Amino acid sequence: MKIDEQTVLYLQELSYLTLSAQERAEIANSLENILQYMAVLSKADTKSVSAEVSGDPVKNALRPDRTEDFGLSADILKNAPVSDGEFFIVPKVIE
Amino acid sequence: MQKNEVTSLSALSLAGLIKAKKIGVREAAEAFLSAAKNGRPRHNTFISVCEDGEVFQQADAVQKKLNAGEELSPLAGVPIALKDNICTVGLPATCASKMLKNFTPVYDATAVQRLKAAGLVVIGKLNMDEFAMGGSSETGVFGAVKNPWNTACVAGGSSGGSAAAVAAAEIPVALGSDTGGSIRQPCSFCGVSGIKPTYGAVSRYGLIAYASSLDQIGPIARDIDDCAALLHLISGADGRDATCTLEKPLAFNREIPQNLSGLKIGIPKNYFSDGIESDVQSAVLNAAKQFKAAKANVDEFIMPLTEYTVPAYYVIAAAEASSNLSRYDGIKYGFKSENAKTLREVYQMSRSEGFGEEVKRRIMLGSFVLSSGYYDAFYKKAMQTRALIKAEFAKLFDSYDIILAPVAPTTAYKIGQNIHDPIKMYMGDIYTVSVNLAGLPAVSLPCGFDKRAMPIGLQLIGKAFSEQKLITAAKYFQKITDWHTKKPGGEK
Repeated sequence: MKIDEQTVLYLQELSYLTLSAQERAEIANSLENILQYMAVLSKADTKSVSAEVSGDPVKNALRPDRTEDFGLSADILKNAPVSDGEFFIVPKVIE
Repeated sequence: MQKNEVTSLSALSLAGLIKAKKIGVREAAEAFLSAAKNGRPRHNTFISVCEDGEVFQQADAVQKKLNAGEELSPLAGVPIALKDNICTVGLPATCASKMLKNFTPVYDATAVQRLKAAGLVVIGKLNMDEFAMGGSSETGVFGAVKNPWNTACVAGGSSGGSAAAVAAAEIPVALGSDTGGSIRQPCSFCGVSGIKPTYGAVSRYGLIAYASSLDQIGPIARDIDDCAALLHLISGADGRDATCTLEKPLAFNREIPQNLSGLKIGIPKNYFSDGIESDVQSAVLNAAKQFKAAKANVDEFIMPLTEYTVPAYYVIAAAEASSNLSRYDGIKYGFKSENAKTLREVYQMSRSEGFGEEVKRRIMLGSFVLSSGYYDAFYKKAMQTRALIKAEFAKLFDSYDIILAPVAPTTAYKIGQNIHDPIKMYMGDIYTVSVNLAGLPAVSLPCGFDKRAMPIGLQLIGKAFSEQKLITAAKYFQKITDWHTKKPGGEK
């Protein structure tokens, strides 16, 4: 499978990444090799498996849906790169 | 007691002496704090070591409870260190990434809460591959972990800091995490014991997610008894992780049977063909002979679907990683690019500058296999293959109690040797990833050395929640062999 420049640009868009031209060339090459290696999966005989398989049969250990106040807002905000002590600060999004 | 005498003890022996008041909790903590500080520059095992005062405060609180007659646990007073993707209040959890260099969790992982309640004393956080993505502990921003058996070699990964710190007696027990072999393989490379628990046995609350359907926290120690004692403390239901389905903690019988009569062990003979080093092959097959001599019923079978396990694993793990790591946006926590002006630039530039090469590769691979046009051929196909692998294991466990296999095809290789060849690195996971895909438990035990005097590991795999059976067999093996008692001789 050929991974061209267009595909890498699309993937970096999906992944919220910005790569340099050199990084894009390297990743194209390594993804191509990896996907070629993974292509063997097409040979697996999966006819017996449900087409809708979505992972393990769901068995969850559920708990009552109750809110819990951890009282940690101030500590959480300390980890933010930019905050005013009460809110996360983001660049202006509406002109 | 001299500090080096304290650090040479197993965790259970140390706890026994603490209980008998022959060693103080602070004395034990002091001994391991200096071992950690001394070993750190040699092996690059610790990302952070707690301040002395902070450790002594914990130690004194445990001592006070013990003095008051409180029965905390069989490991009360024992120092522990944690892989740096496990959250602890007030200690940085970096995942060995520039992205999280300045991140300090505001809560304890459930496993950590339980260990603290059981009287263990946290002394620091351990090095790893960035976001647990790797098999050599070389991809992290703090540099490669060095193998205590030969510091020119890797420690394995991704829990390389945990395994190397235990091997170098910088800590008696550690927690690691295993998504595709990340506990078992570094244990094999460093000559220590470890357990990858059944998926759902240990809460993942507070484990920084890589691939959520595969990740499990587990113990690493010098012998299987210490691992079992630790697993007992951290396992069992937790309302904060809906996938933690085990209702009660795993309990282990400390008795060792006279022999293993009645135990059915299967050996996947196709694991011993291409790509496995001859020393690994002979050490593992020799271990199988020892099980046979102990009256276990040992025979061979062909493990089906082996050509699909590594590709299926990497498709699924990358897909889940691309989703899990979308939370790193440069806004709520983690690295933020200085150069970003707009919101989109904050996202893109922070992620591009904050993540390392292997992490970016897996995020993009995950985005690819989940993208329109490729989803069916890769992600869906991998999930269907996973269902087949799981079904094949179920059939095998109708015939066998335990599957005995190598942990890795090689022993520890030179630092830098394979890091630029992702497929070669991924192939090193050939014997471990199927266990995660099927959600099974497995133990990793030392079983010999290669010609270069590097440790070799053995893997025992069981059906879901059969840890008791695996541990009994492992204890028996460690009773009749002494590989787990060997210690690294220092620098070469």
